[in-house]
Amino acid sequence: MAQFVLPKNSRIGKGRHFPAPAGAGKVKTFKVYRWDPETDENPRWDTYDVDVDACGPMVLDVLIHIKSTVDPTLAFRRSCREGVCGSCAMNIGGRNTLACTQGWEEVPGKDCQIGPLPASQVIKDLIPDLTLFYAQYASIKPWLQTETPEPQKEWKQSPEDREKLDGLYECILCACCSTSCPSYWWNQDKYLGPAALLHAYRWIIDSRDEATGDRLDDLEDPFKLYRCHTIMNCAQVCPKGLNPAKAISEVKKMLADRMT
Amino acid sequence: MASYRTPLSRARGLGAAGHGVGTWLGERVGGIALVPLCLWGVFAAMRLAAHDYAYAVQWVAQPVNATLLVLLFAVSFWHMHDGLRVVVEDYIHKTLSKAGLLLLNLFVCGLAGALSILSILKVAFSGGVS
Amino acid sequence: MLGSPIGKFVLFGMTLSLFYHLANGIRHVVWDLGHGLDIKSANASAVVVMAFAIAATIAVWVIAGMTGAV
Ligand code: SF4
Ligand code: SF4
Ligand code: FES
Repeated sequence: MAQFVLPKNSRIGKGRHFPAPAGAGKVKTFKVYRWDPETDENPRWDTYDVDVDACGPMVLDVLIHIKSTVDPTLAFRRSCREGVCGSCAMNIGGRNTLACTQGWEEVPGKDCQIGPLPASQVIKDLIPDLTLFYAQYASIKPWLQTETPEPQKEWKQSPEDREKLDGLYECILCACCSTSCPSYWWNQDKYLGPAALLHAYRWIIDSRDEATGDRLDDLEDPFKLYRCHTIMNCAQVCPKGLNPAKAISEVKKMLADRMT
Repeated sequence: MASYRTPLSRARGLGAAGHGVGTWLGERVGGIALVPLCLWGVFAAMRLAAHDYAYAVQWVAQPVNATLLVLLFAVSFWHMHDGLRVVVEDYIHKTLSKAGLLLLNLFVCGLAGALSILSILKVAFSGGVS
Repeated sequence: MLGSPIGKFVLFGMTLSLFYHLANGIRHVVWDLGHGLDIKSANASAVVVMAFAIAATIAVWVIAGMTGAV
């Protein structure tokens, strides 16, 4: 049975409170999910009253501020801080997105609540274990497959065919979409999830690829592909504005076309 | 508890079943057939509700009405089976309970469908002789 | 039983559910044909589906009332 409630050792308790420093300007409260694998304690919500006048505009700016001036034990991933690496994906105000491109002022609600990506094993605090997510990506063979001897210079592609990859190649594998997808929550061991399927489609429609049929074969499965019920959470959250639901629907259409 | 299966092996699982298109198309076909059937069904229900039992019996006995009624019920229960099947597959993961519920779903929908069709036919063949 | 107030209430709910399911089903078929999957259209069609369900239900019950069915 799918698990609808958190197991006992994952229930989130009330955590510590960090008041704003004396002489702070504008103060905003950030409620942050904390879990330390080295203690036996349950996860907790720590609240930080942050002097936002001292921070940049993005949620990531606030997290960095907390880590460097208030609480160095806070763990999160980040690298590019401009929405191209996909490391800082987390759940902010109930929505999966990138901390570095999400302005804290735009988060609805009084307090800004920040947690790790849903339905993933937590390594520490805001860091989810994405091992399976990356393996699902690897499983769709994200590279050009050809048998024709390689041309002298390059595999040619017309501008029109190249255009078909727009809206797909931009994916940064942040996992916002897959971890927002209810089908992925209940069946991530069997369902590939929107990100991997978007990439599968990206190679299926690549005019240079010679394994189109094999790729379709690998997806034709009640779970790997057809657990997508067009719930659309994936497209709603993608921080790059991509539409995995549309890509998945195209794959389903191709499979139907192939058989009728 | 620790498994030494590699992540790729976990992601690949048992591989692709090589089917699913047929089921998926079947679900849509049933659904699309129900669009006109349901609209007709609502229309029919409104008409019947305004009349008495005897009228309803002779209404069912008309071949067109009987045929559409049979189709409405048959396709409805088929569609219901398709939908509940997805729910079971989504949420129930233990082989035994999954198999049990899938069978129960099939049998209950099949029984309900057969029963409704036979009831319609019985009225259709015996009623409205006046 | 169906004529009692509770029966009518249940029937009304069933009409509403049927029309909602019907309209949303059509929405899904359109999606499966590859149309209206962008967020704007998807959000708009969600509203259209709910509006249709309410309007169609009211229409059916008003007509039923006029023809003496309820
Ligand atoms: S499709 Fe969008 S949300 Fe999904 S992994 Fe790629 S960039 Fe992230
Ligand atoms: S459209 Fe498909 S992939 Fe996207 S959230 Fe829904 S079920 Fe998941
Ligand atoms: S830090 Fe790279 S995407 Fe946010």
